[in-house]
Order: sequence, then C-alpha cells, then structure tokens
Amino acid sequence: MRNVLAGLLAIGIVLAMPAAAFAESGSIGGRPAQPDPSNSRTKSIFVKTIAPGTTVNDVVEVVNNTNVKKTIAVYATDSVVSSGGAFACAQMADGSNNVGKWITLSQSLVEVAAYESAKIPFTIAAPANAEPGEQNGCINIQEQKNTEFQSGVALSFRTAIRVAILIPGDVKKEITPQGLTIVEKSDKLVVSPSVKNTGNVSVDADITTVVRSLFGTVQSTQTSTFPVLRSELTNWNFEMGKPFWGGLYNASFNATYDASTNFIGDTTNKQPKTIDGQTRLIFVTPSLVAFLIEFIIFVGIIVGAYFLYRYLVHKKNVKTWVDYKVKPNDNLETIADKQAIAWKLLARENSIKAPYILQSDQIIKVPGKAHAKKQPKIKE
Amino acid sequence: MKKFTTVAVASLVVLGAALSMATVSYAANNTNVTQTISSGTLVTDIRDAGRVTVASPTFALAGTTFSFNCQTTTGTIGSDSQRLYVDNPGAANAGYTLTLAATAGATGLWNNAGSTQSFDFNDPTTAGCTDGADADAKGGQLTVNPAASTLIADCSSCTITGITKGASSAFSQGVTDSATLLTAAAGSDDVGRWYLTGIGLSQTIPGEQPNDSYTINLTATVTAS
Repeated sequence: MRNVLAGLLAIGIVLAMPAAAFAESGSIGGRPAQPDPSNSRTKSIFVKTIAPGTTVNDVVEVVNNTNVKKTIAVYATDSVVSSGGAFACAQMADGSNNVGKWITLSQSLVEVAAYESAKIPFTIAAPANAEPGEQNGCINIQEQKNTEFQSGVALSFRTAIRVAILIPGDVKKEITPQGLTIVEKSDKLVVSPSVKNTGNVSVDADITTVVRSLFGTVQSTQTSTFPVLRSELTNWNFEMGKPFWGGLYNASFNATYDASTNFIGDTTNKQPKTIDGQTRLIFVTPSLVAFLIEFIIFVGIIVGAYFLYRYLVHKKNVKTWVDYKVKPNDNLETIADKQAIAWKLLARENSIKAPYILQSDQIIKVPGKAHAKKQPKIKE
Repeated sequence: MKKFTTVAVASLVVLGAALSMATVSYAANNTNVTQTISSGTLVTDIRDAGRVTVASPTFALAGTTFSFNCQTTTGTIGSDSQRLYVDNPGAANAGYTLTLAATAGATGLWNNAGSTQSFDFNDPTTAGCTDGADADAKGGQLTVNPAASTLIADCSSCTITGITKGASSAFSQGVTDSATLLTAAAGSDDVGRWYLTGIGLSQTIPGEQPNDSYTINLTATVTAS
C-alpha cells in the first residue's frame, strides 16, 4: 500500500512539473552592444554625432530574457512626443520620415534561443541636408506573434532604444519655465511644473518643486532629473506630501541644467544654469485629524475668550459698583430694573444662587444711581 | 650527540614536508571562482500575481447597448492578476518612459472581428462623438488616465521615488498619438521592478454604432531616456 501511494505521489510530481517549467517568465529587450566607456549614457541609448552626408555604424544587442525561443522583430522608427512632452517612439505602421529612415538594420527578424542574445549591426546615414541640432529616433525590439481577435484592448509590448543624433552646427541649449499647476488630492498635492525647450537640442534638467509655508518654512520638496526634448513643452506630476495642518502655502519650482554645448552624457566643463519658475499661492485643506484638533482649539479659544470677558467685567464691577441695602419687598428684578441691568447679572455679581431670595437689610453691590440714569439696560 | 643530530634533522625534514604539504593544501583552497552577472535589459509586459507573464493580455471595457446617442464606456488596464510591469535591471541609468499608443498608428481604429464595423480612438471632434477632420470617417475618442492608477515597487531595494505617473490624456490624431504612463527620472532607482494597476480608460462611442464586439491593439513601449 505504501509503495502504491509513493508511486502515485511520484506520478503527481512528474505531471505537475511541466506546468511550472513551461510557465513563461521574463520578456525580451535590447541594448547598445558597443557602449562608449567614456559616456555612461551609451549603455542604454545610442548617442551619435554625425555630420550631414556621412554614415556611422553600430550594433544593437537583442536579448531574449525568457525561457523559450522567440522570434523577434527589430525595426527603426522616428521618435514622437508623448503626452506631457515625454520621449516616445512612433509605431511601425506610422512609417518613418526622419531618423527612423536614416537607420538601416542588417536584419529585421531574428530568432533568439532562451536566455540568449543576438547582435544586429546597423548603419545611420545622415542626409546632406540634415538640420543642425538634435534628431531622435528609435530602434524597437518586439516579439513577433500572431494575435487572435479578442474583444477589448489587446496589449502588445516592446522595448525601444533611443537613438540621439547631434548634427553639428549652431547648437542652442535653452529652456524656459511655462507654468505651474497644483491639484489637491485627498492625501497629496500634485504639483505640475512645465518648461519649454526653446533650443535645438534636448536638455537634462533637474526640476525642483517646493511647497513652503507663508513664513518660508519648507513643507516638502522634490528634485528629479528629466529630459526636456528639443522644441517641446514638457510637464511632470510631482506627488508631494500634503501639509498636515492645512492653510495657505506657496508652491514653486526651478530648473537647473547644463548650459554648455555638451551633448548627452558629456559631463566635461559643465555650465550649470538655474531658472526660477512660477510661484503659486494655494489653500490646502487640513487632514481630518488636524481639522478636529483645530476645531477643538478654536472652540477652546472662543470659550476661553467668553470666560475672560466675564472675568474682566466682574473685576470692573467689583471696583465701580456701590453697596445697596435691600429694602422690604425688594427682589432681584425690582432692584435690577431700577439699576437698568439684567437681574441675572445682578445675581451673578453678588453670588446669589437660586432660588434668588434676598433678605431685608442685606447688602449687595449695584452699579449705582449714575449708571441707572445714564446707561440703557445692561443685558446679561 | 650524533644520534640526537640525526633525530633533529629527521624531525625538521618531516616538519618541513608537513608544512610544504600544508602549503599545497592551502593553495588548492585559494582557487578563485568568478562569476559575472551582467545587467539585463529594460522590459515591460503584463504578469500575474505570481509574476508569470500573461501571453495575450486583453482588457475589456464595460459593455454597452446600442444607442442612437453618443455614449461613453470605461475600463482599466491593470489588475491584481494582470499587472503592467516595468523591469529596469540596471539597464537604464538615466530614467525611462513608459508610453501607450495604438499599434496601427495614428490611423488605427476599433474594429469588429471581420473589420467590417469600426469606430475611432483619436478623434477629438465634439469629444469623440462625431467624425472630424482626420483621415478616417469615424468618430470616437479614447482617454487614458494613468494618474488614477496605483504604482507599486516590487522588489526589496527599490522605491517609487522619482517616478511620476502621466496625466490623463485623450488620443488626438497628430496631436496626442502616444500617452505617457510613467516617467522615471535619472534619480530613480537604476535597479528596480515596478507595476501599475488601475490605469483608467474611457472611450467615447459615436451614436448609432452597430452592436458588435470590437477590439483595438495598443502597444506599451518602454524606452531608456
């Protein structure tokens, strides 16, 4: 019996293994095969300076990170600007008119075994009339597979390698701030600065956003480096901590970039330049806990002010009020009427408690005749 | 004395031999074993909660019924079982962007199975309700809202610091042909794995669109900056 169970267990393990072994993991990608050791950016993108009418050669490495053999399409496209000014690559179906057209790959389709890579040489031929400044394109790496009709949004994936080309000539590197918007969410502030590249090469800009109190204290700040593409308006959404106590705050940003004529990845003789962006005054609603605390403090202040007022009135009355001997048939109301004050005030100032009974010849404090003649009736 | 000297010399020889053997033994222990782990590549795909790649991911929008009027249907890209992943295993050291565009390009359409019926995804005319001046004769507009999504860092040593989600954007032919989902700054983690869920989708469907099942192919592209 024990042997039978062991045998069944072994069969179960063997049957279970293929499912785990064939579950696909990983994806396909690529990288420059011959990065320039003096430029770290060339590990992930192609950076070239090409004179008009000349050609350069390079190699792209296509990597299959999966555990199965893949047929991979490799193709060049122009770059496009994505929403918010981000870098993106055109689709193959869009065709190419610029850098995508300048690139010629030695292979457009390659079979790569599991966990292996393939190197594909290519050339970039800059036309004789290429405009000075930066031009961008992409080398795209995408698995080739047939898709069946499925209702809804069907997703495909690709890794693209940016190809940044500098056509020598007049290089203008400049960005200008364009605006700042702030959107308050329940748990954060989304601070969105925007800058425009008014030059003809891209700029890697350190964008710093700051939220300060009206007294200048920094509540939160973030700095990140983003590329601002040639001639493009670019904006980013910084999700920043929301001030706990709420109230009025100033949000602002600045951008720092290398104003030298260095191209991408060249860090020699940098000329840092900082430009200040807009500042916006914003009202931030407090968090629920802060609101409750602030409400309690507010109520406390109001109550405290009321009692302080009463104390000050009492203190004044003690100094100015005169003695009055209670006559037969007097009560608080009749005396208060004569003195033109509220009977409750008279009772309180003389510490007379309910049922507010006065004794004949009892001495109490009253405002006096002068007050009774001149003043309208004082309410409680 | 001679006997003592002989014994001493013999002892030294034995000791020397023992020491030399020991030296040989240590040399064997000092053999170097080297292994190089090269950086991988920047990739994006859809994986399930167990991080297994989903071969043909599809995201349905809410079903609607035929209407004579323009209508809007919504959905999301990314769920707990279909997570939109980006892996950067040290391959992009100055940040990256993750974008979404129609595979068929700016002239793409939502098509039924036989491509006999279709409507547009990037016509901004009257917010997608009617056909405009673009190349096709179809109305319809798709809006992608990554700002509503959730971004998760899925490794022990990475964070989402320096990664910003794109703003809501509607496809508009020749104006917005690509929607930015993520922008990772140069200061973001060079080695990291992240995923997005709940990217909002909203599609305007023109009035009198025939009832059928429609599909559109979108391509997610990850590009090093």
